[in-house]
Amino acid sequence: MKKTVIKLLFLTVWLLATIVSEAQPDTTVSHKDTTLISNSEIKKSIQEFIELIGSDDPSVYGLKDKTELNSLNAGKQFKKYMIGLSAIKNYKPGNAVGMMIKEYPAIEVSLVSSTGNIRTSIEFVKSKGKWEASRYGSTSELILLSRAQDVLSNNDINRGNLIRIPSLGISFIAVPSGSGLNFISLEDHPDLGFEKGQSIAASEAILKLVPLANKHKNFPN
Amino acid sequence: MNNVKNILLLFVLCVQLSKCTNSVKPSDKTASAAAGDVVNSSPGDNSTEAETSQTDEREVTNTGERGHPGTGRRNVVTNACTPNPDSSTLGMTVIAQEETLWCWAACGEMVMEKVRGRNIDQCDEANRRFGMNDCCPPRGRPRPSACNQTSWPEFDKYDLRADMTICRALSWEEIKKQIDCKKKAICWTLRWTDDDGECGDIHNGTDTAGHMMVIFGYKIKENGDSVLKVLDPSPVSVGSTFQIKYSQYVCGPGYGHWNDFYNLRRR
Repeated sequence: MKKTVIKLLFLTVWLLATIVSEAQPDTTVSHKDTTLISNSEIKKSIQEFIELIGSDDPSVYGLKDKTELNSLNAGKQFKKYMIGLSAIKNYKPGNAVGMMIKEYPAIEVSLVSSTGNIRTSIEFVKSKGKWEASRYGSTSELILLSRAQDVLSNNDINRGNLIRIPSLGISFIAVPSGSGLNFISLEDHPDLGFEKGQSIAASEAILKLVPLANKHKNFPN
Repeated sequence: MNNVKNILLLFVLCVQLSKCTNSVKPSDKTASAAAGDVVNSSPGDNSTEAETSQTDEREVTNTGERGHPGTGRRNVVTNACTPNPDSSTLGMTVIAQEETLWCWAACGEMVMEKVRGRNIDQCDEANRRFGMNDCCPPRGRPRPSACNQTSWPEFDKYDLRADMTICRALSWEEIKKQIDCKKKAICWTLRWTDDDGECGDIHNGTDTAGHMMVIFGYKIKENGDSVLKVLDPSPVSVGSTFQIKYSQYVCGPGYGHWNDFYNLRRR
């Protein structure tokens, strides 16, 4: 009898803990250490990047010259988090934004100057259980982040996650806050009320995007 | 609970990745010679006349590169072109999209200007596409928000036509031929997989979205990997250039393959 009571007590505590953790709506994105690509792998990929640039104009890759790549350091490794069009269209006030964010098996490693500015990046994808360089040159989201570095704190970039909403061409840095998840805009979008560097509640940001998502005609953008 | 979440996440990712099977199988080192489904089409209409790679060969013979011999080798008897196996790059630079939803217009501008040899404005493409006349306002005047919409480029409205794949990637061999023999850039469209339905369902009202970019070169790395050079019209007013493994052109984390436009030519 006593054992049954203890079991029931444990079950109740577990259930309560689960409910409480699930009720934390906007903190689902993990903030554990995200250094997954080794320095040696990054250095090897930088040499591949130099080889690929070849005789191309390095400025089209955002570089002064090819050798600049050798002077860059591996910066933050950005996991690939995205929010899809359907998720935004179906969003209702009160829904957990964190649950809309999907993680994909790709990591964009920023390459930064000695002053910490993001100059370019290399993206890695998992192939046969191993991370392999797959893309040389920044995604548009990382370019936006690099252009917003002047108004973002390093702390926010380092502890936050880059959230991509490619169907709307909009990205945010997501940072946890006491009241949930906040989104920091990487660009000015006066029509949506977003200001570069401004932090707003993730739920408020998504609500502003719903009308835009509903206008989307299901073609490329 | 976290384990359950992880298992669920893994399952979702597996499902997402399995969608890659609607395209040519990715392989960086042994790029498939099998072309995707090919449809001869002006994207504005829905023509489905099939066109084979033999037709492409013939067109190389007929049109070639006006005054710009390719690096590809030509057979002196058949005049068929064998593309450079290692690398080739078209002389193009990125043109950024002017609006958040105008990747299609920017890609249309990049590839059409190369064929037409004259300026094509993104706002003009929008005017023609949406039946408007005020998408190119004078400097200082705002552009109506109705101009900023997603779409496909309409080559026929500029007296051009293109071939199109449907939800399929071009083979490595076809890309080499397009770039090195025909000197033609390719409009590549990826489709975000975080939505409902398979690629074939997209014309049935399913929510979907994607992004269009331009392939303008290729290269074989020292380790044998096949890599493509890409002009990305995003971010707005900025644009970017990058290189990507062929397998990631076919499909990648969070995206599959939508429609590609290639072999752009005068009507």
